[in-house]
Amino acid sequence: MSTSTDNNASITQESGPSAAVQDIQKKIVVRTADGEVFNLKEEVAMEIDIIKTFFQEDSISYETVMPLPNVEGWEMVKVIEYCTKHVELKHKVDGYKERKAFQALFVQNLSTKSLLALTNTANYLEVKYLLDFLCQAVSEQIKNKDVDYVRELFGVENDFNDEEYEQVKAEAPWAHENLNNDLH
Amino acid sequence: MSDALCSRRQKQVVLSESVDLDCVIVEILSRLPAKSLLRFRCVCKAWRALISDPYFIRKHLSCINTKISTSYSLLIRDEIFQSTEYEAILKFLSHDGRVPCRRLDFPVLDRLVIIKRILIVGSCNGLICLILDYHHFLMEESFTFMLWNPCTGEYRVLPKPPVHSSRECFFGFGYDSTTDDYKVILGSYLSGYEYVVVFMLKRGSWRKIERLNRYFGVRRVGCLVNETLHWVLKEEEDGRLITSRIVSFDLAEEKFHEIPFPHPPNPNGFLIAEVGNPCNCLTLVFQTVYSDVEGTLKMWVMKEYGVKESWTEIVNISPEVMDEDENIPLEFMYDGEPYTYMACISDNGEILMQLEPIGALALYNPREKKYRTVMDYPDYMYETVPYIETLVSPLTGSTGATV
Repeated sequence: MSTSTDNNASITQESGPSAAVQDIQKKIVVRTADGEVFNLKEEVAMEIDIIKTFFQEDSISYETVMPLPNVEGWEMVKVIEYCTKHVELKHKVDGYKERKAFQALFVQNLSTKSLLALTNTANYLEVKYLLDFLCQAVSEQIKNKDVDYVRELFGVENDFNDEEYEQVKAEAPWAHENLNNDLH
Repeated sequence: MSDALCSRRQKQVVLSESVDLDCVIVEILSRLPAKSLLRFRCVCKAWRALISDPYFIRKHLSCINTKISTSYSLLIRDEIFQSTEYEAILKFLSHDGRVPCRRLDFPVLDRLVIIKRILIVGSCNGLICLILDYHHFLMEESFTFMLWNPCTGEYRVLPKPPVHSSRECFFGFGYDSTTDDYKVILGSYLSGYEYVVVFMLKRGSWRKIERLNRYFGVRRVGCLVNETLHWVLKEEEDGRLITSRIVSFDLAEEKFHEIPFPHPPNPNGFLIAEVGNPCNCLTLVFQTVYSDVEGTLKMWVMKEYGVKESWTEIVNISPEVMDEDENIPLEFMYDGEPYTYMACISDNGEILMQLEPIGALALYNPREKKYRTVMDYPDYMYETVPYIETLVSPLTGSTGATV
């Protein structure tokens, strides 16, 4: 009995999941496009698939600083914020209300354009649950907007001529009515 | 979405560089309500192509169907067709005037259509199935069916069924996921002339179902639950309905089965019964009337499909229930025909019901045992059908398989 406990203790030390017990958190370091450097807790870093793949699949040492040339510093801050909360809520039995409250605050001060940028980043970093949440958040914000707003937001050019545009519009004129166009 | 022009354009976007920019846009768009998507078809040619693409439409539909609380629209028909949001009805207070409704443009057909002769057969995934020329009399010809998406305006008049229609006909409409196809059912229980024919949307034609296990006389329009149609069995004695069973027709199997009532109705009374699916669960409404005095109206929900013991009584309305202004009592009968139609049940348990002879649409609160009228058209009878707003095409169904 005591032998196995000893074995367990030694196994624990080698693999590191209860490294917290020994007060040494494994950290992963990334550098974003603007040169900012972030130290992530291992458990949070592993939520980000692109980071997980980089370190685990290629067995790269945690001492390497992973470059993230497509990610801005402010975006990394938000991603870390969300993933940290997600990990925290994983262990909670009934985190529904807390999650909802957190999500509302998370998007509160972000413009729709920033939200969209963050969505693309979540996609690049491969954090599925964050991507799902952000896609939903963006769709909520644009659902009552008009065509011009959406073109501007996504940087899309209108390639319809006037006649074509009117033709497409005429297929469902009611869809262009009764919008609320609050400026965002 | 293989438009090279679009890919080039997307790279001009001032956003974080991403290989899958297209994929993000698709994910965002598929979470939008149908109305927004119809509008955004005008954004650019690439978006128009995406939003019209059958695979995108299917993805959009599955997003709607997996939402925890679907927002229903209601199709209301009296002299014209109108659509309103169920949420708007819940928030409606009588002093606000009228519930905001959108008038729908009924398709212009090359024949005369009398709106009053239209029978709504069912709604499924945003498609409404109707009969354009419903009548009670035996005719030489057959009924004309139509599939309509009131959101996109697309419609399709189906070829005539290869059978005669009669007063002893029943109908249903639904989706069968095993074949990814929409089916319209037309059956007859006229003695010596029983049949069931099914129209399959992808094939575009009617087919007679051979070797059916049995035939039933059932009440006209079936309700759809779990890809199965349900009707109340029409067992009569001396002209009175005495049934205690629901007949189901599995759209995949194409066979009839029976589901018993929660309990047999009181044989001394005269039963009025109807099935519905206001909360996507099989719901049964019945009321026993004794010597022209209305009995209690009961509503049961089958919480676990197919399990008789799971029938749960959710509503028990005695005839003395009044409206919130204490003016008009609820009445459920009209010329001896059942006319309670439960459209929806909201999260707080309020039930949207259609009443006669007032002809109104009311919200009944089972806890307070009061109801409030939300729509009142004293001159016309009208039907209410819940549906969801989708882009599903009645021409092709969910996927792009062309007929």
